[in-house]
Amino acid sequence: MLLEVKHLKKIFKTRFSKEETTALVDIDFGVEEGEYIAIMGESGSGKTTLLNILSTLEKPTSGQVLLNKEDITAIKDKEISAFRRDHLGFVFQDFNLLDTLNVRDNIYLPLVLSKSSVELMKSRLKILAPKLNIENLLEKQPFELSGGQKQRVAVARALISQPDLVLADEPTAALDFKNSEDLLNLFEEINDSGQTIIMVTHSSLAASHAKRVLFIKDGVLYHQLYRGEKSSTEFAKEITLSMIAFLGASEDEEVSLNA
Amino acid sequence: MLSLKLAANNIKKGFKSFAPFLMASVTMFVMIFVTASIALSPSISKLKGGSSLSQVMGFALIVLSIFAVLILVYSYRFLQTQRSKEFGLYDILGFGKTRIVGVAFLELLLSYIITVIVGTICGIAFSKFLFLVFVNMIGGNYFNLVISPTAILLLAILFFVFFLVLMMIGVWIIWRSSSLDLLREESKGEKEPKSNLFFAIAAVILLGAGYYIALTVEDPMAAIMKFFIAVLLVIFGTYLFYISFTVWYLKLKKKRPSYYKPNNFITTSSMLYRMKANAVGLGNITILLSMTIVTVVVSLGVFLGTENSVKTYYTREAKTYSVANNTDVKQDIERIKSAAASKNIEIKNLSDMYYAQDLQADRVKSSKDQFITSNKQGVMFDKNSYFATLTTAQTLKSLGNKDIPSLKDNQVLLVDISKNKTSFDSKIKSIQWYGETYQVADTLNSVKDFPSSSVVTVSSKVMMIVFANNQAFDKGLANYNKTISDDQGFSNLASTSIIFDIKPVDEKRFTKAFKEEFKDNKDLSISYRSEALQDQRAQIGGFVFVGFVLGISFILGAALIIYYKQLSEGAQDKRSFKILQEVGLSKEEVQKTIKSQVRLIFFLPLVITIAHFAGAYLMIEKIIMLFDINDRSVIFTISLATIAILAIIYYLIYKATSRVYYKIVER
Repeated sequence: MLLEVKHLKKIFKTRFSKEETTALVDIDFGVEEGEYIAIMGESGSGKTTLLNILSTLEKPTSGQVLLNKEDITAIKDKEISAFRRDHLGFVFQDFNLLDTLNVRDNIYLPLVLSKSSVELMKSRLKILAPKLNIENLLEKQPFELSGGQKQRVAVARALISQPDLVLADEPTAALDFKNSEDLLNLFEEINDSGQTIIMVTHSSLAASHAKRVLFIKDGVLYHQLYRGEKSSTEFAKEITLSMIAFLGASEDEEVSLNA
Repeated sequence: MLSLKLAANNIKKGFKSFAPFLMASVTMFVMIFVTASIALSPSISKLKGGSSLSQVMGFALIVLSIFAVLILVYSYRFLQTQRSKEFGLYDILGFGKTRIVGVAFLELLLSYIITVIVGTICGIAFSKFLFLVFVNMIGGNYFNLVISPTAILLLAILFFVFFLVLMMIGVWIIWRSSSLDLLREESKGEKEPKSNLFFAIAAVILLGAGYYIALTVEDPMAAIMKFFIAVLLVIFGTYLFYISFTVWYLKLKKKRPSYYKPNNFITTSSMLYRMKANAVGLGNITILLSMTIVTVVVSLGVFLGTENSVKTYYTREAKTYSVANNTDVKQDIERIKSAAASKNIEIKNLSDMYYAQDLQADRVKSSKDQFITSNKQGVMFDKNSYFATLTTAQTLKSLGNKDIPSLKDNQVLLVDISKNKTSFDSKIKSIQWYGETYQVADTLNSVKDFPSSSVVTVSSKVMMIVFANNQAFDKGLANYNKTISDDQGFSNLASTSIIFDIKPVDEKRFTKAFKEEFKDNKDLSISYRSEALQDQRAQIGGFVFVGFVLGISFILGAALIIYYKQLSEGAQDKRSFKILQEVGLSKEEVQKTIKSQVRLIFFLPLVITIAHFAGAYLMIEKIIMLFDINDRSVIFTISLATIAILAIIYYLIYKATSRVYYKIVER
């Protein structure tokens, strides 16, 4: 088991009142190496909180997260940045590329921060660039790229450190249909080559490319679906139906729109 | 009306982005306002060298104005980029470019009005405050700083022109770009600047020409125009230097393998990314620092140098003076003592002197061990032109100089009293002094307590000829007068002085007693060191005040620009550091990165400032020497001290402002 999430609970307290908000009630699941998991839920369901805890950006109120048997919620603040760049890869909704660096240097960033050798950076990029179809973008500045290109660069940055786990936060939210499809297919390819991915999304379409979908509502995991041998279109329908069934009829419209 | 409301609201709501612009604008206003008020004050023409000083102030105004335009354009561009999204939105919502320009115009108009009002109030408060500080520091009011309506009007017009320039830039930006461009402007990146060889060469040429002019100027007052040109050349050269040099340097760093180290990686790339703005900022800081150093050194040099020259002229507190040739010095000393005793005033260290100072004597070409005077008076400051001070052995003994050998009538002692000792050669064995030949019995290096001459400059060669007794002295002086002075219709007279120490508080009472005692001898006058200092301060106090005010406003201007730079860069870098922390840069590493970024920006302007100062040093020295200050070492010490203090202040400013930066970028 690569990742074990055990009885995760997160309570937010506002600074000036005693009112408490429970974002995560009791989350419990495991991820095998090579899995591709989508976590679905609407806004406020707690999926972002869950992702933040998995990314070590936040600490849970109680519970554990074990990555390769190591409890990542107990890592000291000092070591947390190093842990993050060595073991985790991130793909963000709004790409989060640095304007100050060209594409090549943006991709190198995690390796530079972990003080890797330039040879290592070069050799890894050489393998990654053709896979992601970014070979001819390397010398450009981020502002010269389209959204789809930017996200491919961001994926390259997430993969270059060969992380145990890639965490993606609504990676298709800022992309059009065509670019979303391309990116999701790319994720599938990457996953096929053995990379474990956890993606948070509210789009059935995006989730349908995953091998397994977890549904979260009000801080609780409600349901899960396995894709098995289904095509992504079939799986997307199933996900949409589950969403309607489990997350309440009022969300019908939004869900079908996303599908 | 909607436009006005929008404009007012924009300033109110967007105060965060408007504040730096307004701050820059008000600061420049205050700086120019104070300078203009000084230049327009009637006191300035009464100062020593007043006419050239007002010329200098005029140049200062021009330099400051150019500078103000640069800063205003820079900060307005920054403001516009931040707000272009808003303008784009108005455009898309159907507000129309004309009306957007209208809003931009009204915003500028409001900013202008705020600048003039706040600037005037702050300017008056600031100059009055500095005036009080100064009066307390130096103990007297030597400059009447008048806040004239003319200055306010002048500034209002000047800034109107500046804002007109800004308006044109604003209109150009809005007109040129489509609404989508405006929407995107904020997130739009800048291409890496190219290291422009042309700029680099231009920078070297401008700086070289500026330095060359400053270093070769002979007479500072006659060539004041030249110096001004040199200043302008150096200012533009500095900007170009930063634009070309820093880009070149950063690109070089980027090529090295060490670029891929966490610190260099982030620092180099982010600095290169905004190098254009950075270069202007660094240039602004450098120029303000340079102006601060120059004004402080000149005014401090004049102040301390004058004090110093008074002190070397009055080697003791009191000095009597008489040119009557029938005085009995021994008797006068007794009478002074009894005058003091009658009032119960303590005086001590009485010495009497018999001398004639600063006779111009020209040496004819002769062997090294001979000094033969020419019967014609040559051009002053010629290399064969000497100044001679004649005195007697008895005078030196009375002043407390020990080991004065006894002299025969045809023997003299020689003392080199030039400021610059190397200009005088001590190999002279005999002097042919206007018809009479004297053997040089000995050559002394210095004498104690002899008042220094007031007319000689650093470069002049001054020798003291010590005669055996009063008769030999009188003969030597008479021979000189016969050949030289009589031609010009006057004689140099021998002076008799008695010098002694007295407590400054007793001086008034003593003067009374002295006048009472010497009612019969109107030739005999008395003066005091403290009095002379007071007089000198009255003459130069205004000048020093001007330097003091300008120096402080320059350093404050520099502080504000540094603050502004940190603030705006912090806002720009906030997102970058957020991303970096998400990707895995720890807080300590963020701090380390910031530190290395700050280091380059900290040291570069300081180093360039010192280089500029070194280039202007000779010129500055000459300006200070216009005020009869001949002591080079004093000027040098002041310069070093000023640089040290400025570096410390500069460092403190950086410390304080980097905290601002860190607070912004830290999550």
